[in-house]
Amino acid sequence: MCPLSDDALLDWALARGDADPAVDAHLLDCPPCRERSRAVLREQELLRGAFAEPASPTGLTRRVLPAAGSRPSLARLALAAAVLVGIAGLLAIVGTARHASEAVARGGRYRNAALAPIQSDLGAVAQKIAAARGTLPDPEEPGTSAAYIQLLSVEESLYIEGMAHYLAERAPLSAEQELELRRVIQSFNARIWNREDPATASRNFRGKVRSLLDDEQVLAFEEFSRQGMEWQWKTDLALLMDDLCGELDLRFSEAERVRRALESNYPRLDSPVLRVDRCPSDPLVESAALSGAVRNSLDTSYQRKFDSYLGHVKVARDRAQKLLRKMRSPE
Amino acid sequence: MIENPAESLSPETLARLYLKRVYGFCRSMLRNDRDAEDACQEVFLTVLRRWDQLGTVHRPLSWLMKVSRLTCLWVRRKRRHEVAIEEAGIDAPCDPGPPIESGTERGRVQEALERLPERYQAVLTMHYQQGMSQEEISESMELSRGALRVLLHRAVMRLRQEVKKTCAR
Repeated sequence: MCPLSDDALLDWALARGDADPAVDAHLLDCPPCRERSRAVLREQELLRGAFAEPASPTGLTRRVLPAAGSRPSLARLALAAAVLVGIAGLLAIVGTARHASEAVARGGRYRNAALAPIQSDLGAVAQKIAAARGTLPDPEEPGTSAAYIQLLSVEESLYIEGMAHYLAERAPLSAEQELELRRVIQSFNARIWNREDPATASRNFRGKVRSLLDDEQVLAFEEFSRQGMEWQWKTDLALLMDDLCGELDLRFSEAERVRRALESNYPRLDSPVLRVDRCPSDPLVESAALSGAVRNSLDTSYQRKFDSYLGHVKVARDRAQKLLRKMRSPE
Repeated sequence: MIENPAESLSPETLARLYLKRVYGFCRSMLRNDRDAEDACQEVFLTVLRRWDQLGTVHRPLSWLMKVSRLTCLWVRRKRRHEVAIEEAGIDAPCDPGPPIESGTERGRVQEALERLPERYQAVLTMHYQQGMSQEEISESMELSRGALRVLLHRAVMRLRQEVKKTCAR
């Protein structure tokens, strides 16, 4: 009896180019099996026909994708190239992540392996902060804020820990310097929370850092800070997109327009350190240009939902700010 | 082959490239134009949301098919007239008989396909309709190559059995 079973013949037909050469060799020498193989191949042909891709309905592209027929402009390609260059640089970045979710937790994307656990923790804390922010009760109510403040403190500590790791490889800090830097960062945050002008607070902060660190350490710190701000911009944008898609229940074409509006208008923070008080949605209520661009990118049927979303963001942000001012004061 | 879409394309371009294939898969799995279109929307929204993640995906088709399959499962559960997914019957031995005869009408094959468990439908659609390699399908279905080969083999045998039943009616 021929050794080639029906199962082996089916496997051979399903494997296509990856088939067992021994079966091919056998088929050359065995006319009955060759005949059986033809039946299996005819079956494969029939199945390919039965599974033929169904015709797409008219207007599918227009309904699913935006501006059918348009191609990326040179300006967009240039922008994309610039963003990609930025991303490449950011892959080396340290744990400056804030409000980061899954992307942050993927430690493998960071060249500094020691920072991966910190990065992952930062992502987890940031998610909790964003969730807590949405459900913050009125800060005037007693006993409401401890958990939220605790989360911000944890995020701040993780950021400092990440920074210390980064500097340790380039221009290590002494224990005293690290302690003092930690205090200066906390003080900076407290000033910001108490409505000090961010530009003034940043200048003041940079002055303190320069007096505290040597030239090499300052350079390393500034590089850490620069990369962190770039990374934060991109992460915040992605998270805000995620939030908007979910909250407004956007279709792809709408979401794509919103993404473009955000990319063109989402402000870049000029802060020397991670701003743990901010959420990715905050710029929407702080910048009329941004919220206007996003609103205009939406179809009228989504605009009311967007207005309501903005209202919720504003309430949550105001509550969080009130809470922070109440809980922490600058030194 | 686009090796790394996030480094060379925009989400919009990726969607344009794969829209018809994703629609074809969803239509085959859902058997309904409108549901397939809605599923397509969901798939590409997921692309947009997970664009960062795509930077590490080397086979966008496998990833898209994985998302499409999960989306279709979700739609099927939602519409509640899903044919029960007979997971328990997937590994049950069956006597498929000889290959399906070439004169069999396509309609009968499609009718038989609808009675298969979802995993079988998915693997057959990826193999025959999408023309994906076993490597791509195994990545998409998160199976080892060996497990995929077994699944594909059993799916064809079960399809033969169902076609035989359809033709006997």
